[in-house]
Amino acid sequence: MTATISAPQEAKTQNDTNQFLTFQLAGEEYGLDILTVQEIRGFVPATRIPNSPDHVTGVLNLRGTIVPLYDLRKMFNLPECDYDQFAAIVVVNIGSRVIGLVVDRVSEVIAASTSDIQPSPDLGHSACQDAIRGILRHEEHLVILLDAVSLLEDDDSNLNLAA
Amino acid sequence: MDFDTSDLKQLFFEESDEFVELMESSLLELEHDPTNADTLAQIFRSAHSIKGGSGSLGMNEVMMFTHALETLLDQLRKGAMTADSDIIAMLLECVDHLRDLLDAARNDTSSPSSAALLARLEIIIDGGKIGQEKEVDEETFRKQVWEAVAAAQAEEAGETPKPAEPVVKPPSTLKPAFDEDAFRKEVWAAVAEAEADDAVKAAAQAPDKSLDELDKLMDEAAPAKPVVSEPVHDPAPHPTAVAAQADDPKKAAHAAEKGENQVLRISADKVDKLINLVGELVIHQSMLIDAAGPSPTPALASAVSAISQATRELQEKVLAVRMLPIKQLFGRFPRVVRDLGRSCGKQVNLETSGEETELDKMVIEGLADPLTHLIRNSVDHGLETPADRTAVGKPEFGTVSLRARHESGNIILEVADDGKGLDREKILKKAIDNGMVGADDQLTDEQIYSLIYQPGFSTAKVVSDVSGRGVGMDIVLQAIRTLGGSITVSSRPGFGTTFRIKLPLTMAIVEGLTVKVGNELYVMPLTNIVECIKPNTSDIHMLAGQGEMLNLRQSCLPVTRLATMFGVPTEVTDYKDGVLVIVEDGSRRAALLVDELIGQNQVVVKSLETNYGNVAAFAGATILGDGKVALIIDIASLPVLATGGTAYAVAA
Repeated sequence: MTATISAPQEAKTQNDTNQFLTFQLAGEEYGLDILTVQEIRGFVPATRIPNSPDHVTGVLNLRGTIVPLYDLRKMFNLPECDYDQFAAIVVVNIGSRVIGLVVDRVSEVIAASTSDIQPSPDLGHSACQDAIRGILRHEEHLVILLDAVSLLEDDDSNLNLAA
Repeated sequence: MDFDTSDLKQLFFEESDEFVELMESSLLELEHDPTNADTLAQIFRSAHSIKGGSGSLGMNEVMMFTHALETLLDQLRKGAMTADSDIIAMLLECVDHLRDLLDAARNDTSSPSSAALLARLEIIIDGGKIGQEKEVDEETFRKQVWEAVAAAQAEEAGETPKPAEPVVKPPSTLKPAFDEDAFRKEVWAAVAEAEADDAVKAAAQAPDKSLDELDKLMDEAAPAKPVVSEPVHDPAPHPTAVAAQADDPKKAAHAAEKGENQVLRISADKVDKLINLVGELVIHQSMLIDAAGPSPTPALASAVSAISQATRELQEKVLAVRMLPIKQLFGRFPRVVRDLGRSCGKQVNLETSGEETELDKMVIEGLADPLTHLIRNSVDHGLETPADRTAVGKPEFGTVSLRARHESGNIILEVADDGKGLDREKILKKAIDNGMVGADDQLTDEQIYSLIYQPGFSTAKVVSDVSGRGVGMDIVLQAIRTLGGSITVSSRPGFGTTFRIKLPLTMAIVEGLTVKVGNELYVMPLTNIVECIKPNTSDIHMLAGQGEMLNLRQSCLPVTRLATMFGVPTEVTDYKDGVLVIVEDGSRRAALLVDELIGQNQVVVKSLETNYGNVAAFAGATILGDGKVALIIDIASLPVLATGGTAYAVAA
């Protein structure tokens, strides 16, 4: 199942308007730069990789390519949950790497200018600090913006294996 | 215009690389048969083709150099001179230099100076002997070469050569302090006189034009007609265009020669994409078979069967597209052996067989370095000096043989020498000294020889430039592993050593055995599987608390439970309830316990590395008939194989 991406609600000046795909994770709203999102799929079980780190759920077959699936809840040390029919996999494409991220549910696509993004407070946990690009206020709620590239770099466990 | 030229340039470089290779191998053949007319003609034609192409693309350094080379080659092919070993050595140097010039042109870096070589060539052409080289004034020499080039082009254009008056008049204003810029301006001016194109003529004669602009004008004057695989037709009476035109009859002859086996240039990318698609087809076709169910209608059954057949054939053919004869890999070794033999002071004969054996292109590329290393080792360490050889009654010439053949779905490559063989005692002593092995350990010959694959291991007394640093054999082993193959060595003291490399025919598709562990499926490459047995509990012994061992006929093999290794919960805990798969890598064997065997099929290997990374113990993944991913086990890297039956670690 792939979701269609609807048009953004606001349109500001061309230069600094970015679009973000927002999704839910443990009751909080997160966002990813739409340019990094390749597609959205319904949740399918992945093939486990033996002796892999906890947050690596496994690998999937995406039209013939092997794509690793990461569990964001585990990456951010959030409590586990059983995924229901709304759970989805956000397929992210960065450079030449394609990865999948498991989310509770996908929300919508919003537009915001870079000036709306506030830096996130430093809560002292360096592990995922870099992965957070900033905080966005959108229609009365907060969206925590993630930086896809840092997410991958933070995950140094298997990248070291690749090195 | 830029686009066109770059396409042409690309083609030129590809073809020139081939011509240079051909020149080199022909020169080596010439050493054995100096008067062979065909070989001489071949070398001449190669140089001539490079000259023509470089000229029409404005690569002056290359053109000038090949022109001088061609002059000497012409003498040789006409029989005016005979190619003795000194001349051939010089020509080989020239080929190396030509490679450097081509590289410089390709990467747009500054070309190395051809002056010294050109000077020596000139002397030989004039009938002098090698060694008579004297100091030559570079500028004067370059002027002479320009003259010669112009004269030759005039000749080719059909004008009667007037030795006293070359088309390009030597600059009358040559001053003692040579001004290259002024000289080049004069040349262009003289050329402009010959130009029919008035615009160019006027422009070239303008005294304030910079040389770059002049060069550009010349390029523009030659209408670019990029017809990729035909000789370039260039009607403008442009000096280098003239050369190209004159080349046509020769190029046509060359093309006709090639026409016998029509060759297409295809980018590797396109082929890879094709192979991917065919892989998809294979997967979907097997899904189709599954979906047809146990009792399909006759119509469905026959359609599915026809599709399977066609898919299988398509797969074979497409994979074959990527296969190239190993000949091109073997081609570089005569030179390596020759140079090495000379520098080691040994007489070496290189024998090759099975050059037509075809391998996947990727595999050929991956083999270049390991094979080179093995051959260098053979020459440097294996073969004895001529004196030592005659002392033991061997012929002075040592032989290194390279053999390739197909054998039951694999490629077997052998690098053998008839030298002194591996010194078992020396290796053992070195290993004991290095603490790799205990002094009292019982080791078979095979195991001792395998010690040479350890990093840093070398019993060479003298670390030569060539080898002996001890970093070679472990890299060779790694490279062969990466290609999915294995290597074994056998040796007879006094008689020689043979390295035997076994490789799968292709890395893209693997014949695999699907096994079940817990509720997960894994695939094991068939090439690593020896047999599968249903063991009795009594066949397994616990070895002093260190691990489990299988007693199988005459040997004892280490055993490992895949369920434990992969952390998979399973109900099969007793050996008699499962299946033991006996696997091997090279000469080491082990037994793996799985729950059950599912089936044997061809699987398409998909990369784990592209999006995830390298995973220990797995060589990749594949997609099963139901669309799910299954991991392919990399047998060679399993830790259990590291303990080859005894308690120490051999090459892991």
